[in-house]
Amino acid sequence: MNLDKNTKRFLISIFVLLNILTVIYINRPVPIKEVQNNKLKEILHPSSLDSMRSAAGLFFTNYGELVGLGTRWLMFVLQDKYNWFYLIKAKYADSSEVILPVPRQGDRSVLQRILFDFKDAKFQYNFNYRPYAREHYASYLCRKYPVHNGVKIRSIIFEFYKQNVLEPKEALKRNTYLDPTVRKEIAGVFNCHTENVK
Amino acid sequence: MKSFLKYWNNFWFSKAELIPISIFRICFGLLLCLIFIAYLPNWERFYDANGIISLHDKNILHYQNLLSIFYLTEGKIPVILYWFIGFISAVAFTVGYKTRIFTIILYVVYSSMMNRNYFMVYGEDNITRMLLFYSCFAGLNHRFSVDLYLNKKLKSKVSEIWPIRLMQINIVLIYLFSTPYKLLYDPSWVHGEAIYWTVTSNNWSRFPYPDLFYKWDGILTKLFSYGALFIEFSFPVLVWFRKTKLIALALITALHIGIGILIPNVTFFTFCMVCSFWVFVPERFIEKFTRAKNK
Repeated sequence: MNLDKNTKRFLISIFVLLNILTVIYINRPVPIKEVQNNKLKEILHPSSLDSMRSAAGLFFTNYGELVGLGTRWLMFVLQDKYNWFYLIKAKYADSSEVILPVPRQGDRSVLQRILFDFKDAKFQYNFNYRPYAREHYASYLCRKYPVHNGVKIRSIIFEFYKQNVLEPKEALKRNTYLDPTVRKEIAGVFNCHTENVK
Repeated sequence: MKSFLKYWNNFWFSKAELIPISIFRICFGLLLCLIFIAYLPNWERFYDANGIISLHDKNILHYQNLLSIFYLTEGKIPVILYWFIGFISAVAFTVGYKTRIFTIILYVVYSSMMNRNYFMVYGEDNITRMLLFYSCFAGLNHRFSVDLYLNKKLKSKVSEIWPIRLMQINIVLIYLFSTPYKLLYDPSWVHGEAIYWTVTSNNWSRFPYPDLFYKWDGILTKLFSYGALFIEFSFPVLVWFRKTKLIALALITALHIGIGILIPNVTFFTFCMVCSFWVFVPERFIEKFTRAKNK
């Protein structure tokens, strides 16, 4: 297809605007969303406002998702105020509990720690806030480690350890930044259904 | 209106500076190769039908973005094959062989990875996919490439700047949006304590002396936290002006390398951001630098 220079530039300009507007729309801050809604409310009927908002939202969200521009950029916005880690265990039919040889626990080689396990910190961070992600992981672990010493797996246990980090002023007073108390919680016990265990 | 159009055309449709974007291709390609190597032992755990998100789960459609070639070809093509396709494409992208085709393949594979298992998606993945998307339209192979070796005409061929401009604007928008959120959502940024919480975190930090960040009335944490905010706020503005561009780039690169040193789990994110800054580097700076080196 041979397009003249101006038509080509016009089409590219539309594409350019589409991409920039998608990123801006998806990332627009809450106060701007409110101002935009209030202004539109003044000039539009509520039902047309709703349909316009959902049409714009659907269009930009779907396009963003399709091409990969649908990210809300929140780079390092929130800092953890406590230290935490998971200990993931398997419980077998003879009641024995085994610490599973998965990333971030057990014996890991240097290469595994610095290169191959590069996703797992974020994965654990994700499943910290999304219990259903833990369910998926548990189901996977049931399939991966079905038997130990000839005994069948019964469940996967997620132990969550949490230690508060002191406020900087308190840390200065106590000359340490860690609260000495380490709290243990059971973040989840997932039964391994027999259909999962092959 | 005329002057606006002139400015618009000049901004979006002038010639791209070919050396910096070719260096960007090589750096970004090497990073992609490393990322694929790091994925290899995890590939089936992350993306196989029996992996963490099992395709046999009856609720799968709630969690699965169907825009994944892994999902669409399940049962027909072994998922590990996509690792080889991705890795070979990353190598071809790095050396600039059939660059456009392999960039598109890389983009499809990378998007599929993200859509197949979003529990594993990091900031670096979002940036990688964004850079790959725009790279599909850019002439990244006009210098230092096998394509140029095979087709000498490529050297004189014009490449328009608009895909590079889109990359630049997207990178700038990342800081423009995320920096105010820091002040809005986490008071530790306002109080200059954010870096203290980062270096004391067992999950993110590798800094061996976190105690330094609460001592002396927390002067170090204030210095680093406010310094990071200043750099992130100023970068989206300063990077557009000829006189301040290099300073802005040096500062933001130093910031990300600092983050990479302090926080081991975001190393690839750091590399990704640092690679992306090549799209801002002016060609005259590289020429000046090489001339000075040759003298």
